[in-house]
Amino acid sequence: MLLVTAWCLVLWCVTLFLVRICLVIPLFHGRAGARVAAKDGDIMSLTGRTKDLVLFVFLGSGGHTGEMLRLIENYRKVLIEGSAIIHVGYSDDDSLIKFKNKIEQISKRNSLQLKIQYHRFQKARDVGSSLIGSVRSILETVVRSMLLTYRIKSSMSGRPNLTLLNGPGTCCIIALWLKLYHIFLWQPSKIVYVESLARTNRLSLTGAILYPMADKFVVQWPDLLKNHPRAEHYGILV
Amino acid sequence: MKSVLVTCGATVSFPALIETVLNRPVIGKLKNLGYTRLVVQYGRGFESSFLQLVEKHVGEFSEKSRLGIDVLDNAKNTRVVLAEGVEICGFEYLHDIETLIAKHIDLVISHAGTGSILDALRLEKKLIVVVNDTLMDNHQQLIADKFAHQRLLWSIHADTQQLLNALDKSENEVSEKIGNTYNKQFEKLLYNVAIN
Repeated sequence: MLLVTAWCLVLWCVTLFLVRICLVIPLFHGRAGARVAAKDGDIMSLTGRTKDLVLFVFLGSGGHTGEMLRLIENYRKVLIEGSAIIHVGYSDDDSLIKFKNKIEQISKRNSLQLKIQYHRFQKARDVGSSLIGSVRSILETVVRSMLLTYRIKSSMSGRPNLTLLNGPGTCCIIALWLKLYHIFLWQPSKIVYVESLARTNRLSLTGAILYPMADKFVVQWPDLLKNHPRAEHYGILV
Repeated sequence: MKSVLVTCGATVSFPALIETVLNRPVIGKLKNLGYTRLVVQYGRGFESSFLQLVEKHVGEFSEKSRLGIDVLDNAKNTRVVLAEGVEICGFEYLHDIETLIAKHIDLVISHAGTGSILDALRLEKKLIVVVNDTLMDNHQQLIADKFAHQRLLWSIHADTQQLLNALDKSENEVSEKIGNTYNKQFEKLLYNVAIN
């Protein structure tokens, strides 16, 4: 009798857990309501409404960082002008310096007072590293990024928040932790992923992994829409 | 004074590109087209190889310490040499390459990385892209083809003759402009995701 009760409990937990996953992971939401368009007026008044925005961006390296900086510059009205705090994840110093130069330019030009916090993430995988080397560095990154992501996540709760990612590998780990915190700690996080401009006809590995997890998945070339019904295309954004 | 910028990727060096540009016929061509300065970003940790290539193709070189361009004079390990009346200046890496391009550069010869392509196009400079076909996952070719198809740039491989032809084209053909990449729909998407 005890055994049966125990089994029932376990089954209940598993079922609840699965339901919870389905509720959280965007893949299971389909595209219904994918474009709840803001009225034009909203964008005008948006600086006021997103005053509390907690933004999290991750700077990859080289081309990824370049594209991210352009996204931030092009869409600064939503991303930074109304932000309460900007969390910047990075894994190499070049990206950090580039970001600081750019953000200084932008805030000078628009006379903004920005609150920025920097978080150093370990690289998930170096370009061209061996399989075993990759596995080890990925595992290390997973563990270390758990706490970093948690800290960022905590400052998001109860406020409008947005996580903007565009690769490379470390983004998968960040997204994974964000979604796990979402599932187990009931703290929603919203992820927008923008696939690299370099990807014209095939998703990157990071893109493929993030496809089910990102709340919005945006590609910059229309060919990528064919096999990816959840993807959205707005032309070249960077 | 007309200047050319040659740029490799920040993370992956591209010696074949530098070697092609440093060829005597190419330098001669540049001089004929009125370019008197060749600026090379050769990439991290590539300084000694760059100097070897210069010695191999240009021969003995004398060094100048200052160029009179602030961004470059402050850059790490800037090297300047003279060959056939063209001033060749090499540096490792520049964080703010946009300022350099905007103020001092007329033509960019670049690897086919999206970052470098966009830098040149957004600043409305003539752009020749050299595809690095030694990279394992070669999406450089695809991206170069896409942009070349829209007549935004000239795409070639690391080959002297191809570069000479492309230089002629850059002088005689007019390329398209990339325009503004701000998209209102995408801005709304970001906004909606953030507040919902």
